Amino acid sequence: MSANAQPVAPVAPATKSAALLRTDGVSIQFGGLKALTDFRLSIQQGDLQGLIGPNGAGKSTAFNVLTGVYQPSQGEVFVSGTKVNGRKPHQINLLGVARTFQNIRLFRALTALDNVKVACRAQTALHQSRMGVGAKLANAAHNYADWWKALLLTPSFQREERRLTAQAEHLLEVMGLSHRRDEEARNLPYGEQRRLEIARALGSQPRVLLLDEPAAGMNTREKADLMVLIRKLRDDFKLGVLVIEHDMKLVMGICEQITVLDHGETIARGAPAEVRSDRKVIEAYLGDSYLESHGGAA
Amino acid sequence: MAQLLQHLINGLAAGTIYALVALGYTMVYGVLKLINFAHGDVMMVGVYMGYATAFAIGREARGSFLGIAAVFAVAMLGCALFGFLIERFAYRPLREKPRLTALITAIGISFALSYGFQLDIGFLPGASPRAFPEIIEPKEWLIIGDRDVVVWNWQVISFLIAVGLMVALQYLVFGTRFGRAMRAVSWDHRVAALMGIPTDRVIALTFMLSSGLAAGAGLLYAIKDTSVSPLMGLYVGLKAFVAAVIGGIGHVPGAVVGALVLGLVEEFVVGYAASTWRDAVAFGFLILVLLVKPGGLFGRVAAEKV
Repeated sequence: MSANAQPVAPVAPATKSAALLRTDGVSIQFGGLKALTDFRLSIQQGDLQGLIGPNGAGKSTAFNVLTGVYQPSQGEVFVSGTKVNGRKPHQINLLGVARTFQNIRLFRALTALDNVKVACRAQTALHQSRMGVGAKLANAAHNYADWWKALLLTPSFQREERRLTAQAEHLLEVMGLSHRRDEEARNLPYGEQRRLEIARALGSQPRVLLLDEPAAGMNTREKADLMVLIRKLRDDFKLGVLVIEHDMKLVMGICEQITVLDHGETIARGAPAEVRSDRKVIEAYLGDSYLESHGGAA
Repeated sequence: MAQLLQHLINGLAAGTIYALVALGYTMVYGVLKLINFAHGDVMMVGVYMGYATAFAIGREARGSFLGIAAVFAVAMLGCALFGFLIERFAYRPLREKPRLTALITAIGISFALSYGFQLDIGFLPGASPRAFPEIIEPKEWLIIGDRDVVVWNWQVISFLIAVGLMVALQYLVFGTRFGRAMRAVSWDHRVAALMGIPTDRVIALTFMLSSGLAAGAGLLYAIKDTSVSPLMGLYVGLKAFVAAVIGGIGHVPGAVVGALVLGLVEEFVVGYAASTWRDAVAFGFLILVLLVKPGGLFGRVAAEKV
């Protein structure tokens, strides 16, 4: 593996104080329905946070706001200190936010390698992501030039193509998918499709990784492996990670901080032990059965 | 036997031209799920650009390699720009509207172009067909027997240009970052955007590419037909659309196969039955294919995503 194939570390390490991803009083409304109210979140490098709540609590809405799919009705979203309200999803991804999906959404007809390569960045594009907002116009011009290079098959384009392949191959290797390199994504077994989604998300060299129910449909053994994997990815890729998950054992097992949503409102936040014993959380989410089996944690 | 060979050659020559236009339909459908009914008319505009260029460079330069290259370059680049403008100002504002809105807009643009070009004001050419200048002087390239089979030089050149463009396209779609992005957008444009792909730009480039290819195809058609008219886009566009549907719309190699099959079917009808039956048989063939394979030869009948 050549040196330039290492997609691992971001160019400039974030300063300790600056959050990679931060929301400030974000609310979002669909017609009369308040899907999210005064949502606050701050993720730093090395964080492993959880986002839980019953169905319809606003977890997916939160992910959609963080990635630019929905625009907040109120409040602000910052990525590495840059305000991203009004930015398009692909621009926010460029700034360093990538996600996976609860119901796997791979490019099913593309090979595993191509799925990852689609997300992999040209080096030029990466530099742009470190640029300020002021250089937007020059940025756009540069982007066009970059895409035309692909059409014109210049030697620099060919080099770029080889670099992208190496980068994607490396990520497949990290996720244990090297043997599936040239298979169409739809032909992979379920668990490998989930891992491929993570590889694809890592292809865009994010600083924050959002995982939407990564353990859905996995058995106990796979879940245990996944917990190890998520920690390893956070450390190796120097990420901040936010996980939506229904599996309490997994969330409580790996997350250092957990935010609990109910009806769009944040009803609790804190370390797993605190959240687990919070009365409101137990009522809203964990439910009576949890109380029974744990003899009334409150 | 010789007659069969002659028809095969003519059919293939026609089919490759249809293929280039059909690829435009299929690529745009791939990324936008839009049947771009204005595609044939965009092609017609490209042909007129080439027509104007051929006159601008003069009679002497026309037959030279550089002359031909200039005609094709101006027509294809100009048409790509034209396609870009249509996408930017006609289709993009309707992106989030129901699909039918864009479809009706496409039909509107189609009519605006094909009938607008029949006006006789300013640079517009007027309704009557015009002779397309001989940018390739016709010569027999190959004669078998006592003129049993004749292959013309323009047939060979046209075939080479068409195949060259298709090979280039194949490489672009399956070997480059742009092609990968295009396939990703075609599969799921929302996820593609979340993976950092500028979907608007990919769609714009797809339109430019399909319009440029159409202009190239239109020129080849005009050379074959030795004429150019404002209504040629409706006719060629419709046939190419049929070819794309036969192959399975959205399927790139399918469009090529569909076009070749259609070209051959038409040629055999003209050769062995009557030329007046040509269109009836072409559309009848489409109906037949769709009865047996509703998604086209290579297409899949997709269940609507919920």
